[in-house]
Amino acid sequence: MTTCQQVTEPLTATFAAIGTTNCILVTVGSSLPAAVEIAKGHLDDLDKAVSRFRNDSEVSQLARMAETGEAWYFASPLFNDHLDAARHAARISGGLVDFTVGSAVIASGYDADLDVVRSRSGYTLPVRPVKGPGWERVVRGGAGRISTPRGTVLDFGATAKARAADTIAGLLEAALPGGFLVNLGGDIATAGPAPEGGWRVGIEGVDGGIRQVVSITDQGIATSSTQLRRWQTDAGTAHHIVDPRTGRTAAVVWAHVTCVASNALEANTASTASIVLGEEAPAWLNRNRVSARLERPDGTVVFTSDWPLS
Amino acid sequence: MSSPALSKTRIALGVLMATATLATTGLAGTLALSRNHTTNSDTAANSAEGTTVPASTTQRTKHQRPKASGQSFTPASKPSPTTAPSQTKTKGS
Repeated sequence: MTTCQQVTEPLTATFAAIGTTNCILVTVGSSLPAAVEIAKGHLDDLDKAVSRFRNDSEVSQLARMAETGEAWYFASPLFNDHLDAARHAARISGGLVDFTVGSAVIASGYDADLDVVRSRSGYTLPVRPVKGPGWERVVRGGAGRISTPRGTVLDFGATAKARAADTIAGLLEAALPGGFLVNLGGDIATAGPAPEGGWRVGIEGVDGGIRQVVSITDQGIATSSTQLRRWQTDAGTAHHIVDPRTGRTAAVVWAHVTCVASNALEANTASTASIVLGEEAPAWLNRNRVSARLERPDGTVVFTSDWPLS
Repeated sequence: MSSPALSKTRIALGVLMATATLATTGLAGTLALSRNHTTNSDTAANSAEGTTVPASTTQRTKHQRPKASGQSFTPASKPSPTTAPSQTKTKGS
């Protein structure tokens, strides 16, 4: 018989997957082992569908097919779910978060696992930037069929973890008793009843210390950073967030941007778009009523849309 | 044999009837589409994406909702301040 004992403080399990550290928090202790197994299973499937660094992933297969011309491909339901999520992110961000920037990310030097990229010295950037075709040119047909223009490399890096966090949280809520927080490398989704006082999330600063703790109940929260996935090029330091308007690494105006939204996908969409927008980000976030904390490389902070100040 | 005036009248009547038939067919088609849209919004939304997903008859969580319908951020409640220690952290990637 399974006991459904509510714990006073959530229980946590941490594990590595999809190249990052992940945490599951539960309010009913007995749910934790099964929750971790469900999450690991989903992340295994995710890796096979959308990883840019696996030759056998669907993203890689599609990129190879597009090398010689327009590619048609029957994608798995999971791939199409992430395509739909990425299209939603592109739509609500006005194209600032664009999943067709894969070739631009590769041209900027991020064409392998980060350890390999960092081990090189002075990667030479192409003279002319490489721009993607634009997200609206990826066509979603019936029966899971999609098409991409010649030369397209899809990159779900801005949305995959967040969408997976939302999906896993929903799966856990449907299958197990209690409330759940799913943290995939900083992209956080919640589902079910929150613990008393809410889920308490620490916001890490430039120096790695916790700058502030905020409480959420049924929202998502995510942080985008220009400081962590970095490497050297002949033109200076590059990072992994590309401005789809230019095909170049976005200018470093913000070190970290943390956003709260209705789910992790929209939170990460807002934080990624803010990195791309630079100085225009606070006004854009306020217009979209997204609560955010934006930290500059020198540690100064800007808040938007009722972010709690204490 | 008909007079020229009678022929013109018949032609005009024929054009009128054809126009009326087309208008009726068009109206019926529009109504059918409209009915489809209002009674099965999930199917209609997903048809726009080129796929057909039947409207669910079961309650879905916010995580399972289709994502393609919104054009802007979904309204969300704001985070709250707390002085208690964190249970997890976000640092970006």
